[in-house]
Amino acid sequence: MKSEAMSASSIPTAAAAVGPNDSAVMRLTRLSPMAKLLLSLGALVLTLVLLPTILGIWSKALDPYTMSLDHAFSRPGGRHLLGTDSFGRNVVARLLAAAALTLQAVTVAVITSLWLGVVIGGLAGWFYGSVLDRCIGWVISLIYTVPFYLIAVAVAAIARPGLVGAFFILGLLAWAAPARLVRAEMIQLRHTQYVIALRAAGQPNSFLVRRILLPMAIAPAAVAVTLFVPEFIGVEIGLSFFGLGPQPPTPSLGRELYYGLSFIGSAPWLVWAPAITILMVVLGFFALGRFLGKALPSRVQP
Amino acid sequence: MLAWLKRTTADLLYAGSLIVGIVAIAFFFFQAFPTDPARLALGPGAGAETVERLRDGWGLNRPLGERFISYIGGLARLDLGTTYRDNRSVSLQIGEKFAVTASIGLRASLLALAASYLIHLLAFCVPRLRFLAGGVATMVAIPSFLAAILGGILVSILAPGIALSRTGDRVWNDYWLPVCILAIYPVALLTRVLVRKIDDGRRTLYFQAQAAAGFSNFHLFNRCLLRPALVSWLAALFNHLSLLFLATMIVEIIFTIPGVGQLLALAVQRSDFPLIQGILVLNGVFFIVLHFLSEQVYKSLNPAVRAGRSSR
Repeated sequence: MKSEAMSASSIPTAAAAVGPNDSAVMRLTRLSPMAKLLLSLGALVLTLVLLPTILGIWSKALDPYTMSLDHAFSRPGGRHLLGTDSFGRNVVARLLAAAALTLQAVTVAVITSLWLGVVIGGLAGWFYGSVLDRCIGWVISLIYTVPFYLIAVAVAAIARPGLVGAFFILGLLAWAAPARLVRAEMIQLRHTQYVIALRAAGQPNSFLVRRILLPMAIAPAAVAVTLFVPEFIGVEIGLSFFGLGPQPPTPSLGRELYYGLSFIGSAPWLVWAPAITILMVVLGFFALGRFLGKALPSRVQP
Repeated sequence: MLAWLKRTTADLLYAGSLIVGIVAIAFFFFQAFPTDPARLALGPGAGAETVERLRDGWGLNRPLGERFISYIGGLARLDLGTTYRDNRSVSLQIGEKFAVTASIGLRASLLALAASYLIHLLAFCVPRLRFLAGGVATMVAIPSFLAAILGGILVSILAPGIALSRTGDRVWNDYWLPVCILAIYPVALLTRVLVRKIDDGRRTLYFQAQAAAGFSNFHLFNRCLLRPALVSWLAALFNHLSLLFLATMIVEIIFTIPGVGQLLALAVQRSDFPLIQGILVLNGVFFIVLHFLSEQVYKSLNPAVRAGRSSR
């Protein structure tokens, strides 16, 4: 009966659904040494590369556009930690500015795909077995047939929307994996005793979806999207290889790498510096994604 | 037999609907943006009349529906239209390059299978080398084509004369280096799949009984561990083939190999939309066909899936 139903405020929400002692802190303390190592690695990369980028520290101390032809092709060391390029620009400054732009574009794609994935996957999971679910399943299969990379190349070739614009469109097309996971999680959660009990107690669907199902279902999708970051960075590099990335003098990770290839014999640091930066960021995000996969409460692993 | 026929027909229809979907996406995608290919080709300085004449020549002034029907009709005859720049058949151009791309991709797949098998056999027979399989499996952290790019760069640093040369005139057999680089990610992926399956297999009573009976390591590995893992192992490879195809295209650009990747780069430079459209369609159809085949193989090899499907 409605009058006897539990009030919304008295009901424990998603965090409680996984167990009384399963708080985020508890889960962190129970992590395996490997998961802790992954967390440390991810955090280290974030601190080394992303934090100065996000806080804009580089822009105060180093200018990626200042040219000094007298210092062109300076070897790494001394005033220039990672050397200079053919225009005498500081490679550290270029790489930090490049990471900022690349990650800005990647963030746009990640947020767009996660948001769409949660909404569409949530709908498919809630209406499991319906025509809507089947249609969404078909569209997901369709999207899986065309890799992001080709879509990004096509969009950039046709519309030349700029890097962030291209990644927004990429995000519009990359929701299939998170949607699939959210759908699977929703289907499983709908049939848990916890949710059945709440429904029997008369809780409205909107409450169940908003407070219980979506918070729980988002976890694997967020992990999946974090694991996409390396793919997105790869897309940016690929676009630069096709000449579709940011145009000079704007730095991006792919652009710096491609530019460095022209001087591979005379100034190899112009190649290995961006290559190592890319590798660090990619591995850092991978570590973070794997850690989130272990730490977040979810039934479906991406 | 009837159940199999019904199941395969349903799968075929589903795959067919996906192919129609991918063709529609590839076609309408290029119409969704306000960019005029004729204007793009002629540049901003060209007069409106010249642009209009070129649009007429390319059939861009016909109604959208009519163009789509004509595109579908052409596809049925394996005709993907003609390129904007040199008026050559898109199908023929892609066909010429596809053989090279497919050959490299196929050789990378076979190499990945062989390497993954050897790594596991070695790790199984020499316990001190067990870390090898785990180490290789962690390389799955680097996405497929990123691994290809970084591998290419590493080679270019270590041996600048081999990679990234701009000549492009290599003989067919000279693609061993890109093949090795392309195989990095599939090796990691296949090793990872096999690590899990072999760990599961080691815990089975069957394996423990065979080991206690004194069979050789080679026999134990091949008969008791690899055989049950074979379906998942091959399925992982099949599922990855489309991405491998994509990675091949990137590696082709790095190594200046005249394959589909180079063709795509050329099409992008020239804003040749029919060619980009054709490569999109080809990639989609290739993936759908591979997925369909892998599903059929998986179902025919895995009795559990077969039984689950027919009992529904």
